[in-house]
Amino acid sequence: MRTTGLATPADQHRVSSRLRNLALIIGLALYTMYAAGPFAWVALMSLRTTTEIAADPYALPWPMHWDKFLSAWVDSNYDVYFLNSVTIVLSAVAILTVVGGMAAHCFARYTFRFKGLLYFLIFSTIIFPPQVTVIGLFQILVEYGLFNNRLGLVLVYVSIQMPITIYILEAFFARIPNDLFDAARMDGYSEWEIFWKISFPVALPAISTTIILNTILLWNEFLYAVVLISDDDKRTLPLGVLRFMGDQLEDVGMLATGLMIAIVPVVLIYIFFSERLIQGMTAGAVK
Amino acid sequence: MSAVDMPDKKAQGTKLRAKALKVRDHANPASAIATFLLPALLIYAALTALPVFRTFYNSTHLVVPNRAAEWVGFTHYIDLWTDRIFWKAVGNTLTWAAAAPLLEVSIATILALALYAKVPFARFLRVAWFTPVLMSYVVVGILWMWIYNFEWGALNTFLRFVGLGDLAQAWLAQPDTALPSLIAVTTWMWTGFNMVVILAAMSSLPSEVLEAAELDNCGWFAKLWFVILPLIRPTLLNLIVLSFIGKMKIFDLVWVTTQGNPLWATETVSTYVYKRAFQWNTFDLGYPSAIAVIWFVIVMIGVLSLTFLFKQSDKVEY
Amino acid sequence: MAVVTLENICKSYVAGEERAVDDVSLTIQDGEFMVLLGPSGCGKSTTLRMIAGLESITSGTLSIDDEPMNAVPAKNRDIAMVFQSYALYPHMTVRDNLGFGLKRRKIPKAEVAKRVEAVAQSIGLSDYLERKPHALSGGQRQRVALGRAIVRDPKVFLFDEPLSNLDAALRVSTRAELVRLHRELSATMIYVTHDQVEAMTMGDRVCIMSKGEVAQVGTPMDVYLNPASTFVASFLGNPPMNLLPCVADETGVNVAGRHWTGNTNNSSPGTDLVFGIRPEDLVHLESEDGANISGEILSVEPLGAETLIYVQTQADDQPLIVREGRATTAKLGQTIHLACKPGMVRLFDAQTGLALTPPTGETP
Repeated sequence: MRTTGLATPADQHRVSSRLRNLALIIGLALYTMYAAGPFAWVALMSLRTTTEIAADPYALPWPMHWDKFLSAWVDSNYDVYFLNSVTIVLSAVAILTVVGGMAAHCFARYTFRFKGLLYFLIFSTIIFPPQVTVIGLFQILVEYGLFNNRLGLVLVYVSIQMPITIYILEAFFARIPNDLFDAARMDGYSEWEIFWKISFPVALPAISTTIILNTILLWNEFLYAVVLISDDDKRTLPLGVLRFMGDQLEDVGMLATGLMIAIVPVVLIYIFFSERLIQGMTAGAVK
Repeated sequence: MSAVDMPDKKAQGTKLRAKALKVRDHANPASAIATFLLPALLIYAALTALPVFRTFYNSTHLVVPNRAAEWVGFTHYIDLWTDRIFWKAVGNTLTWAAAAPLLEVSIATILALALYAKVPFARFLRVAWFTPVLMSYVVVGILWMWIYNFEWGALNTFLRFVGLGDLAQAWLAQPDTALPSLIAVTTWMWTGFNMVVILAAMSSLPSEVLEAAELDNCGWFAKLWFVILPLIRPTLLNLIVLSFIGKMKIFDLVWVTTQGNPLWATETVSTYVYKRAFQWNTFDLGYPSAIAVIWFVIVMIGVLSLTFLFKQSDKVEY
Repeated sequence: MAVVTLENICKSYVAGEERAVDDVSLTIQDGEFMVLLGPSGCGKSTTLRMIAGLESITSGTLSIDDEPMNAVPAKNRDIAMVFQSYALYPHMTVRDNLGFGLKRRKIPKAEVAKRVEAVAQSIGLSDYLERKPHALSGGQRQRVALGRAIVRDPKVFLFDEPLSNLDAALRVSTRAELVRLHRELSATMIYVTHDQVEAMTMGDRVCIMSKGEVAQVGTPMDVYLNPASTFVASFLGNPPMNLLPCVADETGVNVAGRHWTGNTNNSSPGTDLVFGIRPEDLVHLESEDGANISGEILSVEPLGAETLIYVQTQADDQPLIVREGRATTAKLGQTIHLACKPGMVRLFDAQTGLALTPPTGETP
C-alpha cells in the first residue's frame, strides 16, 4: 500500500538531501557573486562613461565606449606607466631567471661548505617583513644614486623575488637525475655549458612557472615602488593607477578603464598559463 | 695466483708524481660553484642583508638627512613603549593576522570540498574564485572603495535591495567597521588561492584511504572529519602560517583605501613605519627603524610559535 | 686503445672518515673486459666514477697508458660511460643524443652525421633518429645509451650496471650483444655489476670487491673454483659454496663428526679452519662407506633441471646444500651420506677467512 507524504524513511532522506543540495547551491552562488562580482562590475564600468554610471551604476554597458581605453592610454600618461612596468618587470624577471637559476642549480647539484647555512639565510628572508629592509634599502639606494631610478627598482625586485625563485627551481633541479650531468661531463661539456644546455632546457617547465609567477607578483608590486620611485615618468602601473585616482577621484568611469588596463595583462597570462601559474603560486604551500 | 695485482717498481715513480698534483674535486669544482653562486650572493648581500643590518643600526641612532647618524642608545625603543599609535597599529595588525588566516582557510576548505564533491561548473567556479588573487592591491583597493561607497556602493545597494537598508553605512569611514571591512577584502582576495591549494592536496589523497573509510561505513561528515582533514592537516597549517606572514606585512591595501584612518582604526605597523619614515616631516629614519626591528622580532616569534604550536613532525614550509 | 692502472686508490668523502674505496690496485689490460663485481656499497661504482673522473681520487694514482689522470677532468680523459639510468638527454632527439659528445670535440658536422648514422645502423635505431627518449622503449633507450658511447670511439668504455633496468629476457639478449660488441671493437671495457651471472658470462677477468677493498681478481672460472676468501666463496655461486667449521689434524680435517683426508697446507693439528665445498661437488652415496659428511634431510627443492637438497649436519646451524640431478632418491627426513668430489674441497683460515695457499687439493 502506497502512502502519500513523507512516510517512509527513504522519502525523508531524499527530501532532506535535496534541501541540503539547495542550500549548498545557494551558498556557492552567493560566494561566487562575492568572488567574481567585483571584477565583473569594474569590467562593465570600464566601458561606460561617468555620466552613465552616475545615472545607474549597475546597468549594462550600452553603447560600449571602447574609445575610453584609448583616451586613458593617451591622456593620462598610462602609456608611460605601462611601458615602465613592462621594462622593469621584464628586466627583473630576466635577471631573476638567470641568477636564480644559477644559484638553484648550484644548490641542487653540488656539495660545498656552508651550503646549508647559505640556503637557510637566503630562504629565511621569505618570512622577513618588508619594513625591516625597506628603510635600509632606501638609504643604500640614495647613497649609490639608484634612488628614483628604474635600474635600482629592477635590482630590488630581483632581490625580493630571489628566495622563492631559488626555492622552486632548486626543488625541480634536484629531481633531475645526477647521471644526466655526469653524462654531459663525460661528453666533454664544462659546468657552465651543462647548466645552459642540460639544466635549463630540462627544467623549462619549472622555469616558465617562476617566470609567470614573478611577472605577476612584480607587476602588482606596490610598496617598494612607492618608496623608491618619486618621478612621475618613472612610475610603474600600480603607482600610476593610484596617482590617477588622486587626480580623478570623481571620474569613476575613467578610473575603471584605468583599472582594467592594469588587470588585463595579468588576466591574459592567467588565461594562457593558468596551470603553470597555479603551480607557482602554490609551490610553497603544498606538501 | 695473487689476490691483488701488485704495483711494480715503475708505478712507484708515477705515484710520487701524482702526489705533487693538486687534488681537485671533480664532482664539485670550486670555480663553478663560485661562478654560479656569486651573482645571487652579491644581490642578497647588497640588497637584503645590508639593508637589514642598516635598519638595525638605524634603530639606535638619530638618522637625519645631511648629518652623520648620532648614537642615541635605546631611546627609540623607550619612546616606542609609550607610543599609543604604535600599539594601536600592533593591535590592528595582530587582529588582522589572527582573523584572516582562520577565515580564509576555513572558507577555502568548504569551497574545496564542494569542488572535490564535483559540483556542476567546477572548472568555471575554480577560475572565478581564484581570479581575485591575481590583481594588485592598488586595483583591489580602489575597487572595494567603490563597493563600500555609502551612496552607490555595491554592498549598500545590495542591503537596500534585500530590505536591510538600515544596515547601510559608510563602511570604511567608521572606526568600528573599517578594519573588519578591510579584513573582508583580504579574505575575498586570498580564499580562492587557499581553496586551490587545499583542492590540490585533497586530489592527491590516495583513493584507497577514502574507499576504506567508505567500507568502514563513514558518512560524509565522518569521512571529512576523521579522514580528509587529518590527512591534509599539514597543508592547512602551512596555509595558515603563510597567510599569517602575509597579513603581518600588509601595507598596500590600507595605503590605497584608508591610509590608516579613521582614527587609526586601520593603521597597521607597515603603514605606520612608512608614515614615520617617508611622510611625516620628522626627518628621522631611526625611530621607524626601531619599529621595524621590534616588528621583525614579533613576526619571528609569531612564526616560530605557530610552528611550535602545530608541533608537527613534518616541518612547515613557507 | 689503453691500459688502465689503479695504484693504491683510496676514496673518502669526508676527510678522516671511513673510506668508501680502500687501497685498490688493479691493472686492466688493453682490450680487456674487466668486471667489477660486489654487493651494493662495496665501492665498485665509486671506483668506476673515479676512473671516469666524476669523483676525485683521495689518494693513489690512476693512469691510462702510463699517464697519470688524477688531475685530468672527465672530459679530457677520452672515456665513455653507459649509465644505469641511461642518462639520455630528455630534451634532445636520438640523433642529437648520439652527436652531443662529438659536437663538443670540434669534429666537422659532416663527420658527426656520418658517424651517428653508422652507429644508429649498428644498434638498429636508424628509424628512430628523430624521436626523443620518452618515445622509446626501455631496450631502445639502453641501445641509445650504448650508441652514445660507441660513437665517441673512446679509449675506455665504462659501464655502470647498464642492464639492471631491463627485463629478464632483454637482459640476456643485451648481454650477448655486449659481448659481441667487445669482440668487434676490441676496446678496453670496465663493467660494474652486482649480478654474478653477468660477471661470469661477460668478463675476461672479474674483480670482486668487498667493503671498499679488492677481494680477488681473476678469470671467472678461476674465482669460482679457487675463491681467495670465504667472502668470495659465499658471494659467488647460487646457491653459494657450503662453508663448515672444521679442525685440522695430522692427515686432514675433522668436519661434521667425520674425517676428510687431504692437504691442510701444514696447518698444525687442532687449528680451526673452514671447510668449503660447492653444492655440485657433493656426491650422494648409497651407504655410509666413504662418506665425508652425513646429515638429516631438511627439505628437497625440485627446480626442474636440478634438485637442491638441504641437509642438517652436526657442524653448523646453517643447512648444507647439495645440488643433485632431477632423478634424486632423497626424501625428507632421511639420513643422507655425502662424499666430496676429489680436488674440489677448499680450506680457509677460520680467523682471516683467507684461502690456505696453494689451493688445497687432496693427496692422491
